Amino acid sequence: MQTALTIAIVLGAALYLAWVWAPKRKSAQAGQSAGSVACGPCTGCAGCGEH
Amino acid sequence: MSGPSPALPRRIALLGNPNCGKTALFNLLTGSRQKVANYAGVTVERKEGVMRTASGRRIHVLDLPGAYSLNALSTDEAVTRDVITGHSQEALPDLLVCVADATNLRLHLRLVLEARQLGLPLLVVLNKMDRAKQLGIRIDKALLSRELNLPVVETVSVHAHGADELRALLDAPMRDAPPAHWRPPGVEQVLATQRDVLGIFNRTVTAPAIDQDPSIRIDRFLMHPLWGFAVLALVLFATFLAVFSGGDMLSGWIEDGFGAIAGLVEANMPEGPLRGLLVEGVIGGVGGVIVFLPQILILFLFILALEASGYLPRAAFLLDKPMSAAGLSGRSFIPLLSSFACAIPGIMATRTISHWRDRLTTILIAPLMACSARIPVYTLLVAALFPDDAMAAALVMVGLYVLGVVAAMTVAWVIKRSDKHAARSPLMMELPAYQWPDGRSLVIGLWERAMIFLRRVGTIILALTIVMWALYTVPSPRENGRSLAGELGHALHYVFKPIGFNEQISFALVPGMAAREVVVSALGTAYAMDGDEGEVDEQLRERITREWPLATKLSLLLWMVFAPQCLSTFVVVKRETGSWKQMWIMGGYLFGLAYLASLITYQLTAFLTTP
Repeated sequence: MQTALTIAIVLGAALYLAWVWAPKRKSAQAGQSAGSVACGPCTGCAGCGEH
Repeated sequence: MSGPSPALPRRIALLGNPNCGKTALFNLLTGSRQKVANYAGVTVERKEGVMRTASGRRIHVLDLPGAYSLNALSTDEAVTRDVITGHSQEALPDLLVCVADATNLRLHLRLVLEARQLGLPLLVVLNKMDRAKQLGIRIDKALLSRELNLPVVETVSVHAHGADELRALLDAPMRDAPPAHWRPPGVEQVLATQRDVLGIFNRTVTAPAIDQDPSIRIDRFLMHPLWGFAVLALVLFATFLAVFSGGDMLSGWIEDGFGAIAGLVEANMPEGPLRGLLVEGVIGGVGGVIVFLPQILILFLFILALEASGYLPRAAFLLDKPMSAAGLSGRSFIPLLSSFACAIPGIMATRTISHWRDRLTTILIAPLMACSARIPVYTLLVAALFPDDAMAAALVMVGLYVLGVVAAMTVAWVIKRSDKHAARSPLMMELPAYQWPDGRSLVIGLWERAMIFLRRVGTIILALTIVMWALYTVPSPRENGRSLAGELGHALHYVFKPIGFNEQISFALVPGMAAREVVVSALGTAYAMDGDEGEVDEQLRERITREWPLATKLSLLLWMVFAPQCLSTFVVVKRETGSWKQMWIMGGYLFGLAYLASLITYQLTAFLTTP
């Protein structure tokens, strides 16, 4: 049981990092200049004011 | 059910000079919690919120970057100009609300007159009216409204009901006017606008003699060529002293708390991989980073308080001349100071530097400022170097910061020397009035920073420590000799061997690229995996003291001072310069500098200490 839970937690963490760091293009919302992209890979520094 | 009347504004934009209190007014109107600062041009990102008028109608409010003129000199001003002249992807606002500082109307009226030429519905807000009255400034609001042919309202953006008059006015129908086409003004037009400004100002404002302003009296001391520098040195010294001595007690409590939690888990859980993950990966890894929260908050407290007091632009002025020797201007001071907290907002703050070469140089040297994420690694290594000498440890800590600054100035000087056609750009900056930092804003600012840090610890850092723990555990190093992390560390070790890094350090640098603080927890996990469970923090320090040669400790310290270890910084440099080349130049010179400094330090120390 411990092993199964451990594997699930580790996989969850790895998937979370993959999701956070996957290159994303910001939605073309008003106010964003053309071609503006998210900082990613994100370290949650809050420099962008979004985290 | 009918929608709102088309004659009523549904989307307004706040326009104004830097330091006019526009962001504070935006906070008051929308209730959003955004940083309020005195430094010119702090609002570099687009900010939008929703407010309610006096009748309860919802209005979208756009907080535009501060601008002195529509004839843009900086990136911020260009963004503002583009939005309100219809040259951006943004829809034109229904109404422009031009915020002017009532204590400095002569300067701020220029933007009002420029905005009036756009033909959009416009109203003028005289902000900071309480302070204007304190200073004896009298403004004939009715006459000003007639002169401008615009509605004028008074606000006090730091008071709860300071914008009630504005909320009421936003329920009134707007005049319907087609927007005019904007063209950059010629010299004659600029001079004519300035003459209009002076005429309107002289007819509507009665101001006392200028030296009644206490800020001018304070500046005679704080901007003095000798005493000014003495005060600035004292302020910076006090900041770093507080960071490194003030947080110790709180850090100790946090460390004890995590130790107790680890003990509880070990006592109540059967041995197995999950217990190992919780104790070594989660509690050890996260706890090893979170103990530095007090130091980081103390640093931010000082930066926020200095910003709010109006002192930072003065410091920039004072440092303009010394910084010019390195090819920079005083305008680079605030981005560089912000980089002590984190290089990313520091690099973004360079948008207020209008001269491109100065801006690029500041961006390229910003990562050399020791950011707060380096505090955990510095603290660990310095404590391991001087386990019984707190004074020596404190001096070395200060020395590491100074080394980063000296390296940054040297690199700036080299860049200046390499550009034969570089012209010196004069520093022109508005000095806002001194004021006591608002306690509520400071608490909100610190709370936001604490939440950002804890969110980072609870997400990215937690996930990284879990993955690292797995890499150190699979396959079991006790049975197979080397884990996946061990294999990676072993491979990297060949690159880092000449500078004295062992396999554990070599691997710890990999997750450190995502978040520098993780170097500490990576080392903690690495050593915990080698033998005793739960060996973190203090035990890690003792083990480093005992097992690493002096040359390795010094080499790693130098590496941490110079090496670029944060991928986000790379990406922000690419975004802000719009150039892959500049990003690689920055990464290349920082890696080269770090490797060279560590190589010399390691080889020299090893030579001198070998019997």
